[in-house]
Amino acid sequence: MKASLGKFDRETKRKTSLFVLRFFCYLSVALLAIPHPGIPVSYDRTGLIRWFVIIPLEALIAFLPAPGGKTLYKPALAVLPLVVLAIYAGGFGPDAWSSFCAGLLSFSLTLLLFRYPRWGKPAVLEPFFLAWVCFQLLAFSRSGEEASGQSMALTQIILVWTVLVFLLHSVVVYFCLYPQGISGVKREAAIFGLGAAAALVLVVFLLPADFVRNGIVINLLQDRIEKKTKPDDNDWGIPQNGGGRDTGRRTIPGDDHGRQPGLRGLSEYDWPGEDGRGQGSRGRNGREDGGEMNQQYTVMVVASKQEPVYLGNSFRGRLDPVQGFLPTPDEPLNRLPSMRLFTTWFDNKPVFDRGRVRQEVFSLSTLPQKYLPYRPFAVEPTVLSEGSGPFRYIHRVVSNMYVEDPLELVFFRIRDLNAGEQNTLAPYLEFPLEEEDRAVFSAYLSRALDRWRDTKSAILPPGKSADEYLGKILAILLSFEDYRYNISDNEDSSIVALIEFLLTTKDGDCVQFSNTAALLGRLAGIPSRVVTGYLAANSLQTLAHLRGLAALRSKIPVLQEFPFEDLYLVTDVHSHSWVQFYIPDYGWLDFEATAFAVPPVGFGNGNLRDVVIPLIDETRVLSPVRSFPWRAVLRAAGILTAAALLGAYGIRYGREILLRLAARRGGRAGARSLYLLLLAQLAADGKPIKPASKTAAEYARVFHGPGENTAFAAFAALYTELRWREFKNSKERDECFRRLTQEYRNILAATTRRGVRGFVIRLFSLRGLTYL
Amino acid sequence: MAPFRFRTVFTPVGFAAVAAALAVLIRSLSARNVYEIALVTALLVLWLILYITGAWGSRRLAALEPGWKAPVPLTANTGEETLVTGFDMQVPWFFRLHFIVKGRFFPAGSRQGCPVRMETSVPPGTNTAPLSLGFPMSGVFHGNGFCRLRDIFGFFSFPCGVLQRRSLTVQSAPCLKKAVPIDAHSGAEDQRNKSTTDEERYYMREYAPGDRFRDINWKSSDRIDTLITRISPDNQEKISRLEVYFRNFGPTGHSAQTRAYLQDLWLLDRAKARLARFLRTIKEEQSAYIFSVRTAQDIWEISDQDELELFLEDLAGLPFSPPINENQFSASQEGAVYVFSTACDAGLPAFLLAHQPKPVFLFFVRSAAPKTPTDAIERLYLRDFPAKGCIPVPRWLVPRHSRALNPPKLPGSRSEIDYAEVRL
Repeated sequence: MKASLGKFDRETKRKTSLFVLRFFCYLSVALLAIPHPGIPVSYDRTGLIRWFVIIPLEALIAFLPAPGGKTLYKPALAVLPLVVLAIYAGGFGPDAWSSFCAGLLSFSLTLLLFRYPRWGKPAVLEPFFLAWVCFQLLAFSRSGEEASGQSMALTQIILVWTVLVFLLHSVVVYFCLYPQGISGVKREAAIFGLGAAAALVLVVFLLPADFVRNGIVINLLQDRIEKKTKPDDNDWGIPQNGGGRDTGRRTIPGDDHGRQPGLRGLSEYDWPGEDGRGQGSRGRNGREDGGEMNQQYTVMVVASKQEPVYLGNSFRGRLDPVQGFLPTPDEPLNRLPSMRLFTTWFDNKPVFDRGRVRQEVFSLSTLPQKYLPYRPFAVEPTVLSEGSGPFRYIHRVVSNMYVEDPLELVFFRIRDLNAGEQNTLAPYLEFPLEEEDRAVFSAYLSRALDRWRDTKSAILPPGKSADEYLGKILAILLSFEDYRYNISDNEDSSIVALIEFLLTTKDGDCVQFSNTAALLGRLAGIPSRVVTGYLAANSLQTLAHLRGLAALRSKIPVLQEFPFEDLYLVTDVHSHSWVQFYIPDYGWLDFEATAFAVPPVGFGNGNLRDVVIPLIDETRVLSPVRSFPWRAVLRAAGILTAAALLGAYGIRYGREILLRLAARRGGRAGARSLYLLLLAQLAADGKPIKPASKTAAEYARVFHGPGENTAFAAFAALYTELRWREFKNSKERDECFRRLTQEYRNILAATTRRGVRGFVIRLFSLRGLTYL
Repeated sequence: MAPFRFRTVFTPVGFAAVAAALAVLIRSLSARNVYEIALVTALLVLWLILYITGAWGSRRLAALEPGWKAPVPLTANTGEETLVTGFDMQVPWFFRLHFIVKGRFFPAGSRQGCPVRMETSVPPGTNTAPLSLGFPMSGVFHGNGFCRLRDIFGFFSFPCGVLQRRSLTVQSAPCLKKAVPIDAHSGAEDQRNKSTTDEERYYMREYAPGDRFRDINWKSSDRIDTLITRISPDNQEKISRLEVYFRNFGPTGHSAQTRAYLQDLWLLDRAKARLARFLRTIKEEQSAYIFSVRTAQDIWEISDQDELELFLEDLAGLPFSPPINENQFSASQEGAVYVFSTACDAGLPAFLLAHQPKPVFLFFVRSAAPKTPTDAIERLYLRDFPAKGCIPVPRWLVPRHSRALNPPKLPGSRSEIDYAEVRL
């Protein structure tokens, strides 16, 4: 009997050790992203609940013995908190499903591995998953020079940890599947540990910390920067030819008197936004978040070979009868800008649209959300850029952009929408307006079309005819030629505001122009939607913008990767709204409705406000020599310790509550629960731990204090009777259980240590976990 | 010379790891990424070291021949552990020796076998390994035992040692019910009418089938609620012969014979367990008894314990027989007849009628009736198959229409019914 108990004890210890090791492997990988300064997107609420609550909790439920020893209870015990937590974390959307599946997978794999090892082979995928996560973190932290530089030695630690966690977890899985082989493992563990430590030391001290996308030859980052950086102090770094800006659709604009906006600098520490950093978004007038009137604040620097670049983050295809165009809920592009990307996002759908060319668009932004040129093909994870002041976020997007002027299509024959397109694009043709409102837009459209028919011969070049489909679009856009475009704070896109704009004021912001054009487009049978975001264009780059751009480029190394003529300074007044029409065979194309209106003048032209750029603190430029990230490592160790302690107390008190509840049931199971509860409480009070090989009666002999021995002996006798004797009726059994409960109280009353010290020890002791 | 057989030493994990490492290596070389190169180089070097060590170790262990002896008799559902011995050779660091048993298990004589795989690893520093040989029901196992040298990271599995072939007979799990009380009018008593004298000394023992009715001590029996037989030294117990019929006739049709449902096999298994229990009990109490056991296939004359054990070995592998030539072994002798049958036996009523008016003791196994008490049902759980390393045949997952027929009631016969069913 003792031998079998000893074997049981060893078996439990072995399983517990393996479970803890597996848990450690998982947590170490899951927590790596938190102290890592090169990974700017930390876990959000859903992620935190999923990775740090649901998955560990389900693994724990699967590992711990089932209540009452009935394995069938386990699925019920697992599913209930899983459903609640999944809904709490992700609502009723896909996030909840993914959380639920992750929890279910965690529960199933743990159960198979530790309870049914014969069928636990699927768990061999776990090491691959952890290594993959490590590898992605490694790739992620090295995706940019700044990210790599900031990650310091953590990159090297991840490098070693990728191999280690894979091997360590493989060993856990192996010994779970083949438990006999675990004895004699200490010698191998020592060799393994020494090898790992040696590898870590070698890698940390030999490999350069800021080594990014380069050859094996060690070339330091700063050396390379020095070679490329040198704007002339006199000319603000603007190339002699103006950066090629004279080739754009418009020349660098000033006002009617040729007056140009000024350039101002603001310390990066005073830059409006969170913690003095450029987190906040400002309104058009630049006054929010501490800004001043007549100033435009830099939001991002965009690099692109294509111009203009319409950078959208909200695609509005749902037409509300009152509020106008609203973001389409099921449009993936509306989720993508704020989506946390761990790896490069790809759109693998084939592109059949004509005229599209794959273009890379880089943006160094003060805003964490991404702005995407249509139609995105690949989106890189956001990278933290620490050495560039408020420009903290690097977004890289590759899009299949339409590079020609879409209005040129008016000279080509465009087919009508086919049945499939009409079916797919039906939501973009809906026009659910009141009859009265519809009549207003219908009348306006018919007037616009009539006018187009009358004047198109004069507008079009001789001998050219206009396509009917594009002709409608051109008619709508040309109808705005009597309207004035003014930059204002009025972003009201309700139907009432649009009618007022159309009939009364004839003066509006890009919001009114784009929304009205989209409404008229739908009325004309053209699928239409509105996109909001930013516009990066030559026409918006004044001399002040270019000077600001040059100044920033001289301070921020990552901008020096791009030719000056490919860079655009985007400010808050460049936030924009435009219309997208669907053209058969060409897909969704961006159209600029404001281009046909009367241009803004005076205060209406926000682009003539003074440009404000952050003054980058040069002393913050990173040194190529990195120190070991003690703070990050200590923070990670602290978080791990706190998590372990919290988990341990959670288990202790959770178990005690469960045992108390189970003890209320009475009978055999209740007696067992009461016994386990008593053992846990005695252990917490500093009493000796009961060896697994001892029975309750044998353990009772440990207590020799006055009154203790008899109480525990009586308890042990009653417990043994309740546990093993068959009672004739329930009354007799209940009486026995009542006496057992009484003896339980007597023991506690006789043995519990008095005083504050005893209370504190009982409160914080974790000795009771020995009985798990 | 044995034909060449290619055996890969990579496990799926090892293969996947090296494939992933090579893919990353190609990528890192094209990108000239020193971090990734360092990462995959570390993994590949480790992989190479393990390969060389494992290959060298497996060559050293090529002649290893562990002792593998299954317990006799091997009984189903007992969780007996076999100790595999002879692993007294040093294995390299980070490697473990594994002993694997692989083969097919044919439950209750079914011709449809299910794959079985059991495995154990040898703790370092020891020369034995426990192997859990568990089977959910009676049957025959044909398989091989062989060794593998595996690393603890799961990359490699090198063959080593000498292949060992075994055929094991698994007897039914013991029938835990009490021995069936046999009516004293069994007919096994003789007609001798000798009166006792005062000088005779008697000894008492529990009643066993075949004892004379008159030898029962009714007073003592009444007192302890068990039938007690009084044996006289002058009147030695006679040698009795019991006629036992084990009717292992199966469902009608040829296909049913080859592809029996698990429910039918389980009924047959329980009937075998019942018969084994019957024979063992009587043999323990009346060692002089001789059994004449007739099955659909053959007749066994069992006179001593060794013959009984041999018969039980044969019984474990006894399959269903098609219901043809059922009366080829019809009883010719006088006296009571003991019949063991299942609900699959369609010819049972005719058989019992043919034995009228002889007393018949029928032990019948059938599916559970709706009102059968739960504790009276012997259940086979399909989940026990995978739990013991057997992969059930897909056909067994299909529930079969349960046979709930009652045995025919004939005058002078007595029947005991056992209930058995298969659950998921």
